[in-house]
Amino acid sequence: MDHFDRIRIFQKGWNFGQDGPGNRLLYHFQGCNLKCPWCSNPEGIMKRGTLMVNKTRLLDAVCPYGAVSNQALNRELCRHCHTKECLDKNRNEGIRYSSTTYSVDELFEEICRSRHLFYSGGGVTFTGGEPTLQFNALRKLLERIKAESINAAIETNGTSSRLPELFRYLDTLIIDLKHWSSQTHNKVLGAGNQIILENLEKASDARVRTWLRIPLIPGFNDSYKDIIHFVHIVRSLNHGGLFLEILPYHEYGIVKWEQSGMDYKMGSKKLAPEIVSKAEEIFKMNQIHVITNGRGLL
Amino acid sequence: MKWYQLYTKQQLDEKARLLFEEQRQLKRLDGWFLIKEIQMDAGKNFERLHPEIRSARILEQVVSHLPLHINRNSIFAGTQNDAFAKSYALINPNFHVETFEGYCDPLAVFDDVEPNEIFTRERIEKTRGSYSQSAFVQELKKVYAETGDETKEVVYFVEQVTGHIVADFRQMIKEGIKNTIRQINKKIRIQKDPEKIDTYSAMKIALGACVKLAGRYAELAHEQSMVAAGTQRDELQLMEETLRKVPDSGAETLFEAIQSFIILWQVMCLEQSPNPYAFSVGNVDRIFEEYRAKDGTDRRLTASLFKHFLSFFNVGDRSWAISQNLILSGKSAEGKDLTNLTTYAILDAFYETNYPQPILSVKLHRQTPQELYREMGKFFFTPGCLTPSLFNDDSVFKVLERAGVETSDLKNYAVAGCQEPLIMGKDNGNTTNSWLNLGKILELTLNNGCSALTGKKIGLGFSELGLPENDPVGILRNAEEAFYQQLDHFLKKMTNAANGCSQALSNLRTPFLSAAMGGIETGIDMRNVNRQGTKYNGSGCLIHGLSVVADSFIAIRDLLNKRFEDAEALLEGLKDDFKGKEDLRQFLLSAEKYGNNSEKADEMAKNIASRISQQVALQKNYLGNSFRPDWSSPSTHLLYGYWVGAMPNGRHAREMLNYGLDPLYGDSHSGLGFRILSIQKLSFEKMNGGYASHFGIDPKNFPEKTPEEKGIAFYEKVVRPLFFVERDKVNPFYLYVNVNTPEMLRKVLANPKKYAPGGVYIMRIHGTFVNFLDLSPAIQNDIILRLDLESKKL
Repeated sequence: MDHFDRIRIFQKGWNFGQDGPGNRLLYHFQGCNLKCPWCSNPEGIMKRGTLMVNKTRLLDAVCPYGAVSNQALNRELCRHCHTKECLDKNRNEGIRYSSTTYSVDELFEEICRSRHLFYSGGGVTFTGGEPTLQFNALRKLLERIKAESINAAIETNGTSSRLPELFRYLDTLIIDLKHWSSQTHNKVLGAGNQIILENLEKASDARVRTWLRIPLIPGFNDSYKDIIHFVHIVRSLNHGGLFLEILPYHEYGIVKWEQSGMDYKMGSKKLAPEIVSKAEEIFKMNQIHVITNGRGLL
Repeated sequence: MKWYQLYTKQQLDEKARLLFEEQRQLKRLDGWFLIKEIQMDAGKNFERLHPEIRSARILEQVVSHLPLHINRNSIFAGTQNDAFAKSYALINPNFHVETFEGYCDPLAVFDDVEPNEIFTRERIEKTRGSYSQSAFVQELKKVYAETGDETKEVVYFVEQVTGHIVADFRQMIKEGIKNTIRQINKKIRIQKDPEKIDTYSAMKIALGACVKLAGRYAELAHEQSMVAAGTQRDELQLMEETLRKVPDSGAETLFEAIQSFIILWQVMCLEQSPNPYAFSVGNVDRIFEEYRAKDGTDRRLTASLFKHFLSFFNVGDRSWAISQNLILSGKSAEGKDLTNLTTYAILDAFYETNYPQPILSVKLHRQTPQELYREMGKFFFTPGCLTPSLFNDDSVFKVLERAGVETSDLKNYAVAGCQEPLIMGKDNGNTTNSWLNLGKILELTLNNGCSALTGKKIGLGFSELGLPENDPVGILRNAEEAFYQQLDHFLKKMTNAANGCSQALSNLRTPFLSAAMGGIETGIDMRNVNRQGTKYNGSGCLIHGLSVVADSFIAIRDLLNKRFEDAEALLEGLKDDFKGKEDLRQFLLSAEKYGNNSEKADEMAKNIASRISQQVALQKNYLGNSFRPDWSSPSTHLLYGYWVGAMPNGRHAREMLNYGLDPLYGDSHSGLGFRILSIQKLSFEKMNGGYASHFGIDPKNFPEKTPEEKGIAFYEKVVRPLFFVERDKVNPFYLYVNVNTPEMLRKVLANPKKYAPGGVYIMRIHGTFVNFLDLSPAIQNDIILRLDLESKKL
């Protein structure tokens, strides 16, 4: 088995209608190439995974090298540790590694066995992190799922130039567009939006059912001007099967930033509810199909 | 005048409402004590009689002398109030987990009578004293004396099983007692066995008691009608007229059929007073549909009449632990759906009354009409409303067939009390005869046979189990097989004790009930321990602690694999509840757990459940029939947990065990989908005693607008994926749900006036409904905990 047959996952679970139609089995792929400061799954950013700490449970005894003291983890020491007793011999509830590696076979078997739970048009969704960073294994898995006629979706940041290779396997493409300006996109997130826009066009040409997601972030993309720019982009796509979903900014991930040993840099920003409703109104006025949590689909 | 000409829907509804309100106001229930006095007095006169004839004669005396009463809002005569004590039950509001001692004292019920001028202490003690000398009490005491610490620390528990039967009254209702007695006379004429002739004679006397009771009620109705005016006079006259006819003769209208049923039921309860829990009705819709059809009444009026039927099952303000089950719908052995108009009318009656008794269950199968799911939506999605427990006929049929039930009997399975499947009128399953505590057995296995809580030597020690005494690694390495050895040791003891309880109970024969349980065919009383009176017979064994033991074995394997040098620390930790060993406990806690679709842990649970089910089924009861493995724990996971020390899965001493087949609270954190996948791996075909499982459902997952749409969504999201997966397999076959949130229940407790203005907030707890506000804090907390947010994400 080569590394193309293995996938790092940092979370799996179920939801209904939120990440694709119906009841869905979700696999969160480890690793992301963007650095969104509002990310609600920061433990999924690092390519190989990250140590997550639950301070209230953290005991000094779990690390024989003294990396834990007074409910705090000295990550500098961890960086050079190869034995990782805290995850094995001294496994505990105070510290865990975010990712687990599965073979494609294992995931495929689990997906097939879950088939009866894919009700209301449900299926499996690969999300992240960024699933396309483990492209070859993802494609293998999608191929096999497609052969079984299981409904498949991916949720991606859209920055992979190889994304169109996956279109043939997808029932739903969920793709983020975080900023209309490639420059700002690049400055804040670490990559421009050029490939995303190209992928959106290709998805449109290939008539892939697409949910375009715009996370509405205060001070980043929530001005009237920003919304108008988004409207222009979406309208230019001329995509019959496109639905737009606004994801209002929230702070659900803030605890996980701390648990992952990273600083949450969003401060105390808040998104006014009227901005969300105004944005929705503008999109709708421009004949753009807006959905909320999967609801509103035709 | 016909009932449907006399009463309007509104009148029936209002009378039912007032009747229930009055029931809730009852402050004393002394009827059972009067019965006990009559039994003790009459018993002396009938001492020399054949045991069944003695019982029948005593019953005759009871119905002759018991004070009767007809409530002004009753449209039917009859009550269960005289069969039950006011509060004596395991799950009453004053119950404390810490007080359970694993002893079922038949005399404790006398503490329930609050002495006053009429029921003086002296009078109470006199009857208690007299009862204590009875053969039944003496033999039962002997059983408990022999089990000693084994039941006191609840390695297992045994009890005599009263109630817990689904009697078949259909023929008596249809053809009348008169005809049943005629049938018995025919049997007597050709019978040569003198014992059977005595049994038949006893049945005749007992059946005659029904007619006597109906006659007394008819007289009372007559007397009251003489001083009543207008409509009330007409109502009492209808009651009198009906009671002069049924149950002696066959019923022709729905009104007569229900009245007949009520008298029969009352006598059945009086025969087993006090506290015959969990008598159950069976498929009530099928029993009564033919009478409704003859009357031609519509769903609405029928529902209103059934409100009075439901009222009958309520006893004072005690809503807990009576567990009388009514089941609806289902299919025939040929697969035909048997839902009818009465099914829907009874559902309406349940919904509109929302009484704490009786308990509602619904049988489902692949061809169940969508309409039934639509109708059930309002139950699941109205806060504080009762919810039906659900049975999967497609699988139950397979389980019962494998257990030897004939095809023609399958459609007549019903549940006695909570969830144990029994064939109506043919099956004496002694469902709660024995109770097994797997957690305690593991504790004793790993602690040299000693209790970690009291230090007492209760089980087999290391040397007796063939474990290397001074080698902790060796002990843990062989722990799984040693556990089964220990289990086998206790299974034999439990079986003996359980059979001892049944033997003791056989002193109290039940000729009346036996006549409704196939006794007319066999000529044998159903409590006869030497000859089988019912077509099917077995004894139940409720098995506790599956996931705690499965997770413990996984954790032990992990420890041996990763840190075998801590084997001794683990054994010490189990003794001292992990004092100073939190790091070790965390290691154990973070092992894989059953309920998360983990291959290792689920496979372990599957193997344990399968092997123990087989071991239990190998035990034989007093008639040589198998014990029935029943993986359920009707709140006893709290009680038994209290007597279990720390476990290798990291669970602290005295914490609760898992409920039924469910993962331990908090251990299933990957959502409902994975929980379903885990439970579906178990071997349900071996669980012919039944099992329990509960889903706490977050109403937020059902955004549909109407209750009917939510009902359909409930089928799609919960029922179908759980029950109807693989056609050839035995899929899960039981589920109960509470669609609620912990926050809501906390609000109800904090402000009952706002959230339960009528003082009633119905929740399901195991197989029964309870008024949440009536429960003890420990049980309230258990319900809140088991709504478990992490395990119910859709």
